[in-house]
Amino acid sequence: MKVLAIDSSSKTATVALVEENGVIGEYSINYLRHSVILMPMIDELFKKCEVPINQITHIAVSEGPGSFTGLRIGAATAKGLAHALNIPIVGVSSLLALAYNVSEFEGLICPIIDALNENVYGMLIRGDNFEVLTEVGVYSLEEIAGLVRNYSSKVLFVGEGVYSYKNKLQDIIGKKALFAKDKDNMARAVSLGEIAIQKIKNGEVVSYFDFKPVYIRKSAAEVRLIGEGS
Amino acid sequence: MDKDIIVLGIESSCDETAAGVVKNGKEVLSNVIHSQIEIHRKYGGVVPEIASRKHIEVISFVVEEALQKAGVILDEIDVIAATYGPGLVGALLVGLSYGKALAYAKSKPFVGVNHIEGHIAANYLGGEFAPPFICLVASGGHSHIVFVKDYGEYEVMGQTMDDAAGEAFDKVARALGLGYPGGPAIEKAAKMGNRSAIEFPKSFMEERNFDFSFSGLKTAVLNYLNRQRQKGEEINVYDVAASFQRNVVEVLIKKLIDAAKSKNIDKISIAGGVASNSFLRQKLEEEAKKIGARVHYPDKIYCTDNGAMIATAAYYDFIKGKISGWDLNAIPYLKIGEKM
Ligand SMILES: [Zn+2]
Repeated sequence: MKVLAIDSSSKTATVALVEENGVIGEYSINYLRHSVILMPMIDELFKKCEVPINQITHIAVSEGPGSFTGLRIGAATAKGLAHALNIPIVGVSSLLALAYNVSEFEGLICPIIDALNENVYGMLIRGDNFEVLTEVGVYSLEEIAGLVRNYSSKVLFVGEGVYSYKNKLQDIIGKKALFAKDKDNMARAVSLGEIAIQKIKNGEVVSYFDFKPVYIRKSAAEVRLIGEGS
Repeated sequence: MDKDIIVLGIESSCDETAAGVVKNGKEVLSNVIHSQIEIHRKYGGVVPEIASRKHIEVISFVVEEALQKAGVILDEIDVIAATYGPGLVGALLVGLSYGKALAYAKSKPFVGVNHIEGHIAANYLGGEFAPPFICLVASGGHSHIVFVKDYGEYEVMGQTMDDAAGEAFDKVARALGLGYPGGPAIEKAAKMGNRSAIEFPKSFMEERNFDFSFSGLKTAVLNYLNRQRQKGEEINVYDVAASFQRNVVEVLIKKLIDAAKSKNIDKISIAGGVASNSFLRQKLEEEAKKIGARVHYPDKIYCTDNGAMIATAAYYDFIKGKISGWDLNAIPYLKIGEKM
């Protein structure tokens, strides 16, 4: 099993080669322009790790949530590679991958990605066993605070959402709220890849034909049309 | 005899997800088009985010079907190409990222193609038409008169100053309640109308350059409809459609004929969605005959957005040595002849 993991769902473009018994390499750039840098980064990764591309058995990719365009650059790249190599895709939640950056934390983990206007894509995970307590959704900061109130343990916020809402969350939630360090708030393809290896063992793979991002949100035009009742 | 060159072309710049396989720049082995028109119809136009989402859902199916219909496997493809502009950036990125990834994993050269140059290259399919010629490229998003000096060598002689021709058709069709997309709807309605019924002003008709404008005409049609409604007079939708269509066609043809005369070129072609308008084709043939010019247009299926035209354009770029880097970005306002 050799997995190429790709995540371009946030500001970070990150790619990694991961095996069952460890990480071969990772390459991350925390600076947008995914459409320009993602493919050269993959090329560089294969070259520097001296792994022939046809040894790859699976492509793991962020399925979302995140930037719609970023998700599609990752998805199209993953699908194209999987098509050419005729191998399956493993879709991994970008929130779950962020939580994995701080998986050793024993309280609650709340990965958050900015969904604009004081909303976040988020979920709630128990740190010790990685049990999902609240499914992925779009939540206001107050709603996030409400979710956290149901538990007595401390909550560690992780992800790009921390940059936007650290102060506000601290105000609402108080001392119970902890915030991950910058290195952990960045998407990491190794986290995505390690989760993917577990998913592969569970048989949770999809064909490149069927893989598509999970946006959580409808497009603005669809929302408008539903609003008009037509 | 040199080895054959087989190109896979991918197109996703607007609301069609398409892939085609073309041999030596002229022989179409397959051309698969997945149109999203039905999805966008209820919005009255293409919604970029919805188009992008649909592209990612269907792209693997479209590419695989194109390979199967062509009877080739990916290893037998020599060059992989995809549109990188102009178009909707989110939509472009799907086909472009997919094409780069396919080419990378198969160690094949990748060629990024200008969508409008793709429309022009559709003329080469079949292999009986070659530069130099004057080409009108007109569709929903673009309207240009181009002097095609040689394969891949372009001089833009004129273009629309405001709306694209297809856009004007869409807007007028909507005002007349004829639905979307406007081109085919107007053409159909116009067949039942009198094209001399209403005289709308002809924009830029007397200008000596080759630019044109459709916004004034569109406004004139809307004003006419308003006036008739205010006067309580009945509107003959068919007459309006026919008169509007005649106006557009006469302006386009005059500019096109003048452009051919100015370059002393006796070959004229039309390409792009608007080129499938039968009235335009017929009128152009009549006018071209008067100056002894020959008219060529791609089959209607190659006038819509498609992958075969992208493959053909890529073929001519490739044999001239053009190969794109893995860092090629989508460029929504890419100009004709601009090389990245
Ligand atoms: Zn087009």
